[in-house]
Amino acid sequence: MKKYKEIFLNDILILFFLIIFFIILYIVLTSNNYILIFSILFIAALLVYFVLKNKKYKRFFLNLFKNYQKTVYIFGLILLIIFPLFLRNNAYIIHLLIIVSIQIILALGLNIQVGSTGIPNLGFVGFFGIGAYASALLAERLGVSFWICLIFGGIIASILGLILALPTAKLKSYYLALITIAFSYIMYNLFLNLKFFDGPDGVRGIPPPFLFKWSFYNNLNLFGLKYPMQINFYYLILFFLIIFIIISFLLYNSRIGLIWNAIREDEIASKSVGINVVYYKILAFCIGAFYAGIAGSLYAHYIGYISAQNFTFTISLAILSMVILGGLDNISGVILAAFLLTILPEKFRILSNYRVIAFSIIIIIMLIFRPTGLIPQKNRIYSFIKSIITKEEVNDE
Amino acid sequence: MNNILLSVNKLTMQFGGLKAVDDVSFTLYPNKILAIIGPNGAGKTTIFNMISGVYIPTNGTIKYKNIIINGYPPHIIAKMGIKRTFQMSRLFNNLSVLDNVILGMVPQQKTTLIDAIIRRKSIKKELNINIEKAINLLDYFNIEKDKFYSKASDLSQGDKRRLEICRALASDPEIILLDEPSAGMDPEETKELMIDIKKIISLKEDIGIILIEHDMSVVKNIADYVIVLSYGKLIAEGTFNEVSSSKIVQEAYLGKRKYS
Repeated sequence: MKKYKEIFLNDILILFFLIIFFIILYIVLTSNNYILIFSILFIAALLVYFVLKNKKYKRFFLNLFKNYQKTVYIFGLILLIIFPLFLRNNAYIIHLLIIVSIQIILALGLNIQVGSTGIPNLGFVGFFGIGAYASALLAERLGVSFWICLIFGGIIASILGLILALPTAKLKSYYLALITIAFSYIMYNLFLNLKFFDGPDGVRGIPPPFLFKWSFYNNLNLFGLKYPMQINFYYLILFFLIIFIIISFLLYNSRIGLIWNAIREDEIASKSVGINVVYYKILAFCIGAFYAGIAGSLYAHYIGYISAQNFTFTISLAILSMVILGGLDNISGVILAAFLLTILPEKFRILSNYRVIAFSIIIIIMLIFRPTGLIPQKNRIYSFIKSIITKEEVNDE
Repeated sequence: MNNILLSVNKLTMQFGGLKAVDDVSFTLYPNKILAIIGPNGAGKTTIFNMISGVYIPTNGTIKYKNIIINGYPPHIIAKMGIKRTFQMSRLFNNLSVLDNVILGMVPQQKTTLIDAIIRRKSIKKELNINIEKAINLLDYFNIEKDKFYSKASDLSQGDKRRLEICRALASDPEIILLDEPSAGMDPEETKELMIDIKKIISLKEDIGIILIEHDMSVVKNIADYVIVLSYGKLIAEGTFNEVSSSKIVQEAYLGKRKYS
């Protein structure tokens, strides 16, 4: 009986923390007072810092969130679904959340290449662009259903990844980085100049997704209240975001994630261990590109208009900085960083003239004080094997 | 003996004008330790690189169990059962000790990308088997249990060597190539190393070991057969006693006698 009580109490506690988190999120998102936003973020960062500094609190929180993972996920998901309902009159904020989700998918895709496998890819936007264009053109010219276009965009991006990876899989560091930069410029110029891609005008009038003949551009009616059409896309993209986060975790925890890490650590040793390095590098390219292709397709159908200007080199850099800031190959870190780096520039519009300076300063500070990112990658712990104990557990006793 | 594990025949490697390895032949039998010795730059590591597929030999053949393997890529050769260690230990430094050994089992793992996403049970089953095996292997080589989750780069030099041997042994190879395992070790650690190398043979039957070594005490104690290289050429072969009493070998190591 006592045990049930404890579980129940902890569930309530988790719900309480999550709700507080979402309230803070709500305030940060809706407020226009940038001093307020800044102070809230600052206090939150300080709190997290002190909690992590104090061993007792740290252990309490870690145990709470580790032992009740299922509860965290279920409550978190429910709150994520309810959250936009409070933003009924604030379509712009929902729009922001959609963009954040797309950026997170992109960052997760790049994380597979840069974080896991150690391929320095500076041309990631090329995959994003080709996914968007492939899907948009297929839908606009041939009138194919969105769902097929979506898959098509992902597959075309993967194929492009394969085409880029095949000749470059044996290259290393700077050379590969240079080639990927060239790739992003090639893609940009193709989008800009080719008639096939509608040239500098861009593709207009991309049809919205339909679900059982119901257009996503319609307003959503729930409980007699009218919600803006963005909310449809929010749920659509949230669905794909969750799928991609799950896939990322599954890959990370499989032998493929481990092999990617090995290639990042030492290519020669990987070969001598028996890893087909070229194959796994190409695989990383293709899967990362697939993420980007799907993200591009979602973006195109949401915005309804794409042009070459949406796929410039700066986007590659922004996504790369998300991966670096978050911590190479740490999925939660990358999600956090993608969120911060998308929301903060929007919220601090007043400083928009200094945005590039701010970005540079953040990256410099990070590289000096925390080169491994906000949440660095940790060693894999196989907790289901009971015969070995971790160091922390040794300290406990 | 009729079951030859590895036979190297007239192996030659030419880098531009330099013949790093010149017309070297030797054979390796199961349950034997073959040591390759010679001064620095004699082409010992080049031979390893050719056997493990890093370099493609200019001439000659490498025959592994009746299959000629020159020109095969390194990962295929590793899959066929020839594993190696490196002179400067090349561990996956930022991964845990356990992960390093699990990665050694890649040639035996069978799960695919689709398994990773859809069939988690097979992944977990395979992982369980791999971890059990890794723990046994690490235990066998006396690496302490509380180090299993620490980074490979945090280990001591001796433990790093042992871990590298564990990683190479993880996929049950038929041949293991040890490239100067005693480099950078003190005499105590070297003694332990000799025990470890003997342990390899008792762990797995019919394994063949090729060893590059500078430390003559190690060679004397554990090698069944020794070949001596100098400037890429094979100048002497035989048991350690035969080789060490050979005049040519002494000249290669110490220089020619001017006054006799």
